[in-house]
Amino acid sequence: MRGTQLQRRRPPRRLVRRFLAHRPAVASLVVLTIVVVAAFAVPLVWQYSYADITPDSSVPPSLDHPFGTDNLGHDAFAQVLRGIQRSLEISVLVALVSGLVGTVWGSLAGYYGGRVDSLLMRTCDLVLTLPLLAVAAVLANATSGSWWLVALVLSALSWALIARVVRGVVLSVREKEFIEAARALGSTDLRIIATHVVPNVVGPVTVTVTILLSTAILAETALSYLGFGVQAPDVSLGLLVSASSTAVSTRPWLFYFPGLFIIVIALAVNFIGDGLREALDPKQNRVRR
Amino acid sequence: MKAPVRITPPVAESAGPPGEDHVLVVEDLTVRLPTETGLVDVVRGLNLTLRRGETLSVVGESGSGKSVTALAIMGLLPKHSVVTGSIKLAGRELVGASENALRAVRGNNLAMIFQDPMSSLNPVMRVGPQIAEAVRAHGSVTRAEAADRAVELLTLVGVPNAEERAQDYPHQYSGGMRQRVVIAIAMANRPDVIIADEPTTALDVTVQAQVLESLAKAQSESGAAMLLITHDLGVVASLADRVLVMYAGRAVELGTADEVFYDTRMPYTVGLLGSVPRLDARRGSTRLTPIPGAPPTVDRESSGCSFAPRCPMASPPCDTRPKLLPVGAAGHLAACHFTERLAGVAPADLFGRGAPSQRSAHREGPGLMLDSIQEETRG
Repeated sequence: MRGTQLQRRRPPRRLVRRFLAHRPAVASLVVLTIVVVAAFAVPLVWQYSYADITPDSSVPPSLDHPFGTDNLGHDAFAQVLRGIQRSLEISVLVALVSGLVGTVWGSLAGYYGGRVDSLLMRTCDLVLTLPLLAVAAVLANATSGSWWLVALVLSALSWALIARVVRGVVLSVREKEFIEAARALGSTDLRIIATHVVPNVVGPVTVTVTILLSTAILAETALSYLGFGVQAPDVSLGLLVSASSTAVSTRPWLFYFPGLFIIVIALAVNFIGDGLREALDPKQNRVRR
Repeated sequence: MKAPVRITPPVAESAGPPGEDHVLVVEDLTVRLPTETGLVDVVRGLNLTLRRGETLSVVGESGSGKSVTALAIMGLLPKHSVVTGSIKLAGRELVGASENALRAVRGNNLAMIFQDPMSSLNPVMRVGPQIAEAVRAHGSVTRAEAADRAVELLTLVGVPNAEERAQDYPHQYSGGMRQRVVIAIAMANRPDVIIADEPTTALDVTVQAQVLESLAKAQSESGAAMLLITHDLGVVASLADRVLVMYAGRAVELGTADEVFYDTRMPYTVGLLGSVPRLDARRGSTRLTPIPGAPPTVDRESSGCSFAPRCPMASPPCDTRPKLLPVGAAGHLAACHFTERLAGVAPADLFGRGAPSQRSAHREGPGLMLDSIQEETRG
């Protein structure tokens, strides 16, 4: 009998396999990883800090200053790296906060239904009717403009998106028999939400949060560009683009490098979100095989 | 053969206090569910008792109120349904109990096995933790203790390699194995009563027997009484001590499995038995005898016997509703005006070709008709 014993198969890592099948997502993941690692590691060894004022002012890209310098002599390479850091920190914080709030909010609304649902979701609708940039500009302006406040303001306006998605999924999950089975076991509502409902919405939430990540980068950029986001001397990508927009014709390197990274990061994150969505819910797309 | 026939005290008229060993006593249970046309009576004055360790099977067509009865006992009916009467679990009244009180009972004293193991397990939770979850929902046990208990339970219901398989997700289990997991969850806290709502209906026929075996083992291990809801009479025959036949929200016959199977006293039960294929049927007479017509819709209720429109024996007395009265052996109850005349009647005599319903047109009345049935049966 020994010889005929079946080899026990480990659960197939289907998710990973499907994600890897999505080429743009894989490429994006590689690019994003490089950008992120560079943004956080290179400043540690780079000869200039983003705040340093070097004797070279307004020099075009060279070996000494790969992205050139501005008219004050700031090294644009150091500033772009710093800007990427800030922009990423802000967008990750936005994604985490709105992901968390949105999941809890949407789960409660979807699970309880009825009046609770109406109350919670009308609040969501209200938040969603607010024009993001206008309100964020006012709020961010009223606060001091430190990066985490900017992030919180953006979160306060974007969690409702997540809440909506979560509620939609919970509406179908709560009708599943295992929820009733859990009730038949005497589990409390909160326990059911925590152990049975939330784990079942992780997929859609991950996807939405990823997309939100790129939205947040763009929103922060827009805010900073308008002068309501991160304030100097701190740097963000949006702030860099904004500060150098007047110099597009004279010192184009100052404008195009941060702009390029905004596009690269936003695109990469979007593709990754796409890949995740396909990996988590292959039915939505073409049939492979 | 079946287990020896138990002598059962009459149950419907539970005027006296239910005995010590009556773990579940349902009296005059009425359930009304909200529909588009208003509240509809789905269960109408049901009485049943369940003794410790006993298996009572509830059988009947779809829509006869079996599952609703189960959900009413669990307190899991939709919010706007109206439940009246009394459901006592180990002396504790459940009708009208607070949600908190019910939650304390559910899973602890009262557990339920759902029909479809494909959907009654959480797909994103490993099997072991899922069973442990049931243990942890009541009583204070550590995570590790609950996990050990989960493996123990899996072994008990016959999952091989329990320790390893506890780490699997439900989709890695087969249907029969999943239902065993559901059984393990149900018995996790050694409940007094397990309600199994068609536990084998969703399963492949070849694994039904194994699952039933697990169920019986789980029951004897935990000493629980079981309310087995099914429309599979084969399941009834293999597991049930007593059988309750429901029709249109009412009990129409109650007795030990042997009594109900071999001394049927209600035309509907006769019809049910006649519509089951039998391996031991004589050759040439193997035609099944279906019950003509369809069960009444729940929103219309006549004052008479609800089976009368489909009953070949229907006659004027049937305009008044028959009570569930003792017949034959103690504990055997049936709701029919003609229980006496039904003794020894075979399904084919009642529902088969040439049965009285087809011939009655030129007959005088029910009396004559029934005499002729008995004639035929004897002959």
